[in-house]
Amino acid sequence: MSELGEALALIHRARGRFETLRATVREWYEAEYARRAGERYAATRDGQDEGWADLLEEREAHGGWQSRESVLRLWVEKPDRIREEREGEAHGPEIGIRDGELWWMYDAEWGVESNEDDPSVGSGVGQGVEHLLDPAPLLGALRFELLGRSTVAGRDAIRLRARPRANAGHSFALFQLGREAEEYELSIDAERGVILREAALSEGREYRVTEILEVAFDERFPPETFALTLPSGASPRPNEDVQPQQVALSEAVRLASFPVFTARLPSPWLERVSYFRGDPRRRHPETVAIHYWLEDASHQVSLLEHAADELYPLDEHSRWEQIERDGQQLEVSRQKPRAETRVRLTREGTSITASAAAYHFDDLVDLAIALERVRPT
Amino acid sequence: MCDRLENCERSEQQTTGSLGIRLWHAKGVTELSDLLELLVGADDSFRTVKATIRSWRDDVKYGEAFERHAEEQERRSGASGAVLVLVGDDGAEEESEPAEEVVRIWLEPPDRVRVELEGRWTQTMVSNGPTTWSYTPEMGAVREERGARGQAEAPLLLQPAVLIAGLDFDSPEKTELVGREALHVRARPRPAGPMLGWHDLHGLAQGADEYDLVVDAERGILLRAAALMDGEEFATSEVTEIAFDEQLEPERFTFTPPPGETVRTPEEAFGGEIEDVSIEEAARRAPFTVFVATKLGPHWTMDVHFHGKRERPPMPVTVFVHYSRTDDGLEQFGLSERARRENEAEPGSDWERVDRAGQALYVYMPSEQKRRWPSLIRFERDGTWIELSSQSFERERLLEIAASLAPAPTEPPLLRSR
Repeated sequence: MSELGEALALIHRARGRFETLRATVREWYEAEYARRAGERYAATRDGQDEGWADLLEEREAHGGWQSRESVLRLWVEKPDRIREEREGEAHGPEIGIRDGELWWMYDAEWGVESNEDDPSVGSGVGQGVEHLLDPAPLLGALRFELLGRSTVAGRDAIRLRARPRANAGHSFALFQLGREAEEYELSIDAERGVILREAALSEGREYRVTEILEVAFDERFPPETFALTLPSGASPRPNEDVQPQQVALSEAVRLASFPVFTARLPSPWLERVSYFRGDPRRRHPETVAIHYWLEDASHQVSLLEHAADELYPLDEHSRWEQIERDGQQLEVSRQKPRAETRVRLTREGTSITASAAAYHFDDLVDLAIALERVRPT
Repeated sequence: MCDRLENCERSEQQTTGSLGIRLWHAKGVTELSDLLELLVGADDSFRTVKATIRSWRDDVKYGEAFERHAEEQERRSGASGAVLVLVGDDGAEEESEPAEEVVRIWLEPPDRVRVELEGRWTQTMVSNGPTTWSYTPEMGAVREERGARGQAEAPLLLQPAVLIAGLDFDSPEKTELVGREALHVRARPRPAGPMLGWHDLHGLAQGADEYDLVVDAERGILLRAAALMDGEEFATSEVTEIAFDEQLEPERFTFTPPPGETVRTPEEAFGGEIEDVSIEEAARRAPFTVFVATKLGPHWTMDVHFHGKRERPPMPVTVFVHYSRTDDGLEQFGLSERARRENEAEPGSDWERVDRAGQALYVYMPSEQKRRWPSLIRFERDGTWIELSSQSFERERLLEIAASLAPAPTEPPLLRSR
């Protein structure tokens, strides 16, 4: 029996070593070394196979890398109850609860979401910490080296250094640790086997750390622990009935506070118009969307229109290129071949974005230039 | 002695190990720790290995076990999982004789491996540094620069660490196999929970009730792995000869094509690779009329893949058109189209012939036991052989789609205004 073997056995059996867990978890992430780790990994054979270059490009297009720190409070009651509360710059809802098949999430920006109407819809509640509570999948993905002892959150811990195995590319557990890291340091609870601290390292430096600040096992939780109670002053939904409505084009023109434009495509194109009155809470402006489609599903063209002095959320991280055509200023967002291309212009105070896949870029520009205003009847 | 490792917890004793940390010392835990340390260290335990592995499986029971596994996946995730379909070209669900194969392997980590497979298929694969050669009689010899593969190509028996998370182990017992001291251990797949882990037993026959393993007591590799259902083995892999740390001849890791064979690049061999194209391009390039579904609503999209003609193995030009709904993504169907062959075999007895508007359609609806399999309709239209498939639609809806098919355009519709 060796100390390393004992650690492996602890890791393997961690999932059966507690019935409830309550913890406060700190997560922090350092952008510069994370970016360098990602770029290094993207150049490796595994990184190429996994398409990391595309992931990095997409990340750059959506704001790049930002350092962040957050605190997560966690309550877990087996077999299938979990509550998460987040503070700080974390990704994810402020409150997430799962009880069996059902889940609820609350966020100040999005309000309450739940699958009560359709329990078959899943969620990510709890997935971010799953590998801490059941680290067994890491046994097949990593090679371990015993470093010694430590104390984390007041508990005895076994410290391990770990490096990815050559064939670990498809390990989801490794993805949760940070696939791009060169190595990891793990602190395993010497009694329960859960991960008390994990760190991803690049160039010998920690850049991504999750650590338990306090933890208690096998407490009894009051029933309301896994029921959603909104924070004081919070409302369940920003607007209960805020959904796009399908309307006739003339109705959209009447409702919209900005001029509406159309492409008037010839047969066999069909047209479908929807109006959305906006959702200030989610920073979503009033919009008119016109969708042109064909009965054989081979092609679609979309126009998305809103007041030019408002921002559309999905556009914030897109890369736009300025062009001029026939004396008009346009912006284009070109994608890879066969992916969606977008052309944006402003006409009489309305921002119009035309998008289509599988059409030549010039055809879409010509369509955008030829848009006609629909006058109220 | 504990019969199951988890039962040993009741007799746990605490001591303080050399690290000054409380350690759990039950005999069962000791055995588990030793077993795990063997298994995780297996692929690091040798400089070279040369082995012959014989594998066998009952395809029918293998398929049943896989179905069970896929249903469990689907139940956990709410999404349709993979489907293992053995529907042959004549339409019948294949029920074949038990499959046997023999694999010979020479492995010198980190980046040298030779694998020779004989059985239902014959294949040779050699990887040496960044270069990999593969050969089958059907596809010929192909060389590609894929980066070092080496140990990644080794059979599961030689790198069993990936299995650990998915199994609960009984206490091992000493045994012997192929002249080597070994540990015989039974294991069961770990139950998946909505929160705590579902573990992929990739490489072992999935969906088994239990597994019977023989672990080399010195090296930690698996000398034997068997999957059982209802107490009976339905898939096994077993080492029949093995040698460690021998000097392997360098020639083992070079590839000599069989007489008459030319080594080709992937582009030369797979020149008919699948391309993403527009429907118009597929219609222009295909040597047959390409058909598309019509009368679809605004939420449908299509993806089109063009598969060029391939000589080895012989494969005609084929166009795949996949439809899906953008609003919920739950409804999907697909068309697979090629030129009708002369003497095209009619589908077998599992298929129902339906005549609609003078068109003969052959319909396959899976049985209740195979309800996750796709429904199929096969028919000929103007010299094109079409297969319509879907897991989403009932029989009548599929027949409506089949009736709606029309020739695909060769040019996209105009975007110019009226």
